[in-house]
Amino acid sequence: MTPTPVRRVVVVAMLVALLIAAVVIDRTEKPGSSTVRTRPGVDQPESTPVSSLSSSWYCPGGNADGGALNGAVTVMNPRDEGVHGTITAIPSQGDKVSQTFDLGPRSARRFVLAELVKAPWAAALVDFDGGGAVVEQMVGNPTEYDVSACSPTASSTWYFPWGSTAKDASLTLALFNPFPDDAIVDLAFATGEGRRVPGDFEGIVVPAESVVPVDIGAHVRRQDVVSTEVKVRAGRVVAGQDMARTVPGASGVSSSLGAPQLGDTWYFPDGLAADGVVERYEVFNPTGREARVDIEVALEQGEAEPFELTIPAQGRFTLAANTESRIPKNVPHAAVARSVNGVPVVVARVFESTTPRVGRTDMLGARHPARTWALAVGGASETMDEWVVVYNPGERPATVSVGALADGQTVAIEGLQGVVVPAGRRVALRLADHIKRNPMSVVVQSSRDVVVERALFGAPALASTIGVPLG
Amino acid sequence: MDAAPTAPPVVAVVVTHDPGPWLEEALAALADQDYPSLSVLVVDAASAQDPTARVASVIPSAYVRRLPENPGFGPAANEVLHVVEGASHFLFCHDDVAPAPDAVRTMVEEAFRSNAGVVAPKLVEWDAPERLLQVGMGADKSGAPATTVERGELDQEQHDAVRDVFVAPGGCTLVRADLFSTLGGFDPAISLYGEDLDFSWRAQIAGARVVVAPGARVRHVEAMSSGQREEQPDDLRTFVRPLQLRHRLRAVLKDYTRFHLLRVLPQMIVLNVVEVVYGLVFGRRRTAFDIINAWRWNLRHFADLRAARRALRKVRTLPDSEVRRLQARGSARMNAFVRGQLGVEERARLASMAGRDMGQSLRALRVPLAVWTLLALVLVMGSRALLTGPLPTVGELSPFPNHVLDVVRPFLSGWRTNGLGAEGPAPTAFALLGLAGTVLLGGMGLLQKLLVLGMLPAGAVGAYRLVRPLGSTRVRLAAMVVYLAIPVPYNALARGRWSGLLLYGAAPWLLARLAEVTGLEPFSLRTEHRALAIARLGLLLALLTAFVPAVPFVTLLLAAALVIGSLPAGGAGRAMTAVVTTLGATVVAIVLLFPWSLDFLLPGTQWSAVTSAGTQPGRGAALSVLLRFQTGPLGAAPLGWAFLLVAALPLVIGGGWRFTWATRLWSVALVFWAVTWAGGRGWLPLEMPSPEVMLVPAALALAVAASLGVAAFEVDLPAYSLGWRQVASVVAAGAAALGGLPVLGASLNGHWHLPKDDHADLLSWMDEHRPEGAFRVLWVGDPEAIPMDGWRLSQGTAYATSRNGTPTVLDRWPGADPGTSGLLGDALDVARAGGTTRLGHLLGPMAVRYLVVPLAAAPGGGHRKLPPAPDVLPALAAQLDLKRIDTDPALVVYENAAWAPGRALLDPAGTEAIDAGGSRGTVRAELHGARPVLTKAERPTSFSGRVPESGYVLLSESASGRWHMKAGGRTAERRRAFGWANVFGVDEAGAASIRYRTSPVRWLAVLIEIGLWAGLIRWLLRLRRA
Repeated sequence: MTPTPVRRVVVVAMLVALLIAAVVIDRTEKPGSSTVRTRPGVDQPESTPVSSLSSSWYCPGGNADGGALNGAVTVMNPRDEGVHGTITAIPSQGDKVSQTFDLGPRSARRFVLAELVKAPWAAALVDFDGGGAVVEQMVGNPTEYDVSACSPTASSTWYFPWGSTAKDASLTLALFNPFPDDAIVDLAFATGEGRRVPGDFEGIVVPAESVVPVDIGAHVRRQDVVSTEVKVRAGRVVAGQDMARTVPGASGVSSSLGAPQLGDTWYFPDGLAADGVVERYEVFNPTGREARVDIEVALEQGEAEPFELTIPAQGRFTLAANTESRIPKNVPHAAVARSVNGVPVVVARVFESTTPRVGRTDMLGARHPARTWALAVGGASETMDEWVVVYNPGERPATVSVGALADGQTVAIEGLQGVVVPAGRRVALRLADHIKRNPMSVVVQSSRDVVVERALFGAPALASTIGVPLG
Repeated sequence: MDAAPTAPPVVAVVVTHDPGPWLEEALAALADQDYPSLSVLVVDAASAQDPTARVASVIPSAYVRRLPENPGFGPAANEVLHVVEGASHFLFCHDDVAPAPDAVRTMVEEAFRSNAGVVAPKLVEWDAPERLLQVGMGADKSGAPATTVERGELDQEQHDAVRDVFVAPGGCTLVRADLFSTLGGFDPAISLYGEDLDFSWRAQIAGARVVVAPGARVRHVEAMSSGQREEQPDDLRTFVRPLQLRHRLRAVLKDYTRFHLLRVLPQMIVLNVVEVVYGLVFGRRRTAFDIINAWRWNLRHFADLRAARRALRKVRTLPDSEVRRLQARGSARMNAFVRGQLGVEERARLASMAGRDMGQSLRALRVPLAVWTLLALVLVMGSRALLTGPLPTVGELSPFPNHVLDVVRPFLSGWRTNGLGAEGPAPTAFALLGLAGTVLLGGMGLLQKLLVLGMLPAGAVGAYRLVRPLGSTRVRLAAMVVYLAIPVPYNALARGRWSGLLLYGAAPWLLARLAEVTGLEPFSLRTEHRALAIARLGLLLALLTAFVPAVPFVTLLLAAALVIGSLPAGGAGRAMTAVVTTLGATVVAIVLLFPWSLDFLLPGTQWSAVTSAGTQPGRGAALSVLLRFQTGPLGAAPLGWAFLLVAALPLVIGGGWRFTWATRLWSVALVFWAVTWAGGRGWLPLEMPSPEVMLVPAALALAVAASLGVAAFEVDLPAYSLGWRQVASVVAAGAAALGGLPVLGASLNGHWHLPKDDHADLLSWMDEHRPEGAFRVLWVGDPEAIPMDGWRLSQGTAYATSRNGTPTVLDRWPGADPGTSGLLGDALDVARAGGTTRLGHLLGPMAVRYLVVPLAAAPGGGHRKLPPAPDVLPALAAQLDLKRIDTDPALVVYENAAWAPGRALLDPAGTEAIDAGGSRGTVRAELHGARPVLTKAERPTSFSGRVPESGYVLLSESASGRWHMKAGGRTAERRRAFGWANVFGVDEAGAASIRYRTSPVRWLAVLIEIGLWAGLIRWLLRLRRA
């Protein structure tokens, strides 16, 4: 049967039409992307889900020999059930020591590293037979201290936007490798003189299950501002930075966990520019591209135009809020730093206070808002004044309640229940106005995603830290 | 006065069997001889009618001896040894020869003049004595005849010189009586065809000359070969050929000394293998079977053969080197093959046979042979590195075990070793591999190469045969060349996609079956038995499905595509028979693969077990890439588009069935392209098989469409006046030529871009750790990157295990339902979700010592990156009990610091943990103190050794009551450990063993399966004969 011309044309036309249609669709439609689950705590410390089989927290630690940066670890169990755990102090010299413990429901416990091991430096590994727990570390001494969260994850990169190796400052980077294989680490720095990659800081070997404290000032000398980039060539580590300053007006201890990842958005619930209080935002761009970053300030009263910053590739920038006229003096505020050109950065805030409080502290911003936050370290007493600052970055008001862990229960702090945080605003809550308890771990619950910061004012210590979201 | 010289007495021995009307003339010719001392003995080999009267009517003095049975010419002629004494020579005659009056005298004179033991005359045609049949005969070293006379050649005395020959051809032969007696006559085991070769050979071994005396002319009816005997087989070909082959082989096996036999026999074997393959490929199955049967017959008569060799040794006076002087050099069959003259001798004997012989078909195949040779050269050149070295473990190309039993035992045992082990039917592929390995005398490496590289020529041959109904040799060559030039198989090989290669080799045969059952012109079903068609397709599907579980799905899609194409082309109703037949064949395949096939039908089955390393949704190739078949290194634009142009030709110039089939074939190509593309986009509810599998039918469709273009060029184009159609044809021809260039170029590579290195090389150090206890390797990664099939962990990520090192083909097909092995995936899921930093503890009781995440199918740069799901590597890196081992960038390897050997004596801490149920308990278990025991593994399900002290022995296999342990002669008590494994309580130190006792149900299932296969094959053969 010979096909008629019409039949032949129809078949060929159908074929060509199908091919053309498919090619057109192929060019316009993109393959669907697969959903990727994000591990908790990858970009900021966060507790693992309660259902976890086990969880580990890594604390870069501090001195364990009674030095100025004495380290202590606070473990907190906000769960309804008790949890079994093991704390292992890993000294920079000597053998590690493990201690098991049982932590009752809604309770916390503090371990001083020097009581477990004696060494110039000690890190801590805390293992739980389950999830949901939170671990923070405190570094310092009774008069000068700082608090930071420990990390539930290790990383192959860590970033510290700010530090100083000025004459009156000692800057120590603690590289903690809790894994059974060695890690090799390279360090790079951005200072006022540009990027520096000291040869002595290349290929630092961090043996398996060890901590290596690195004196940054030994090689990056006399730099008022130092941003640090930790890159792990092999393995993974946890990096923390501790600094002690003795300069009048800026003296104090600061301890911070690095940022394991760069980010587009950083939240700072608290802020104040006032006489006697220096507030700075330190922006570090370790990438190879110039970053454009806006810092939006949410004033408790009034409005302020955002700051538009340009940070060069592999460079850094300091925004001194005190010198900016658009931030009114003595008006508390929150701040959000956003990269507007997609180049991720890392941002920290520094406070140096001489009046009415004395001390200094620096902290990284929060990466994500959340509904439940834990603050393991804290207290409300004559010697410790704890403030909880809640920022609502959303577009609708959030209702916040604060509870304290006491006697195996979560005690709703009277007067701090149902606190409304307007959209885009912050609220600062002074716990001592409602409860007297020291030490005290608290849980902040919100009806919407918020960011929670804790400020601790001692006598004369000053410490501020982002809380730990509960997964 | 001197006495007159007396002529030496000669006895003419005429062997008769149901002689025809020529007998009287033949006897009269003997009676008319001018030789004075000739007597005649007629040996009648059990003729239906007694010929005595007929003999007496011509030669009254002739003596007739009747035999009760017909033993054949040689054994019948041997009767002369019992009844004649005092003769000088014997003249052995068929009953259909008529010597010229001076023939006997001439031969006797020549016997004395040349001092010859055997003298042959000039044989000429009975009715045309001026035409030559034979003037002596040669033979090569394999006994194949090498004639110097063209049958029917005009006799112009051009062959009339007396000369030595290797064979005095049967019909009429003068033999010295004492020589005949010394040699014991003709070989009694040779009934017909071949006694002349054997006797002449032995005569020369005994030191006698064999000469031809062309002055003696003998007419020959060749009654048997020309079909003039009344009672003879209907099919002479099937009667004569086996006798010739087996008797030739007997002569070779008997007449050479051992030394020469060692030289000649391997050459013969190679030649015979080639002929068998040729026969099977070109449909001369009878020839192939005749050769095989010749060997079988001689092996069966081995004892008799040895006795004959011993007897010959006693009379041997000349070495083989002397005897072989008269043999034709080289191979007579090969020479004839080259000259296109093969079969001359056979044709001379079988002149009246119907049908073609091999020589005729070869003459017709001169051009194809040239093309075949060229293609074979390209394939050999392109595969040279792979032919000479081991195949790398890339993708699905896992190495085969060294011993046949290593694949047979897992098939029989009923214990599957994938993952954590499970009771269940092993893949039928194991049995098939074992069977094939046995046929190859245990050459498992050779078997792997045949099943991988052999698929290229298998596909080409299949394409050649598929299009037989379409027309000329050029059409068939076009299909074969285009099918070989499309990049699909080479890309499959480069990526280690064995399933794609297997389907490539089999697809033409599948399409041929489907096309036949449709009966759409020009295809037709060769049998009226629809059930036979279903059974044949079912058998083919079963064979393929055993290795590539997706084959029924692909075949059904192929049949459906034919129906779709038939909607515009016509014949949709008949095309539906292809769908129905495929469905029926699938049922047959499922039954044949029972009980393994149940694995895919029961609840809990993962579809990924069917698709293997399928197309990952969202990661599919662009349509343009699929259209060019560029799933690997070959197929890049612009030449990659060439075959689309070629295949389009029949659509624009074809008429009749050339156009309709082109439409259907384009439908096939479009359907498979579309399904592959949509699957890659994640638009289909199910994961599709890999592109290398899915593109095979599309490639075949284009190849056949291209051949239809040639058919249209031959048939349809001449009807058109000069115009654009001729231009289109030229363009298509040019495109075909250009399209093949990439494959030609790739052949220079020597290994078709298959990576030279593999993960197995990089991980070979694992073998050194076996003494530390049995262990598992947990592979996690992209399904294409892990060198075996696995269970899905998430989209784009699978997991699988190998034992004590890198995988083999035994790890290739995991169960469709992970069962207990799902615990491995559960543990990985927990880690991926951040639910633990102690994954090693979870995997420790499972004897998982190493975790391997391949990031590409092979190490080294230049290979496509195949990363696992983004959360896998961070999850592993976060584990505190996994130690990273540095290796190639394409591999991430961790050692589990918390592992326990697969058979381990637990310390108190471990003993305390065995009752820990579930993951929460397992993650706390500390098995550091576990010591390896029963380290000797006789097989995957049987271990022995010493247990150094009393305690609990952990067996990291899924819990089963069929695991039994004996220690110190007593049965150890078994219970569950960790909720899934086995632990045995051992009371005292001593020798111990653990064995899995195969269930009687499993044995029954094996018997049923074997019975099903044997029954179907037998039924098919019976129907075929019928």
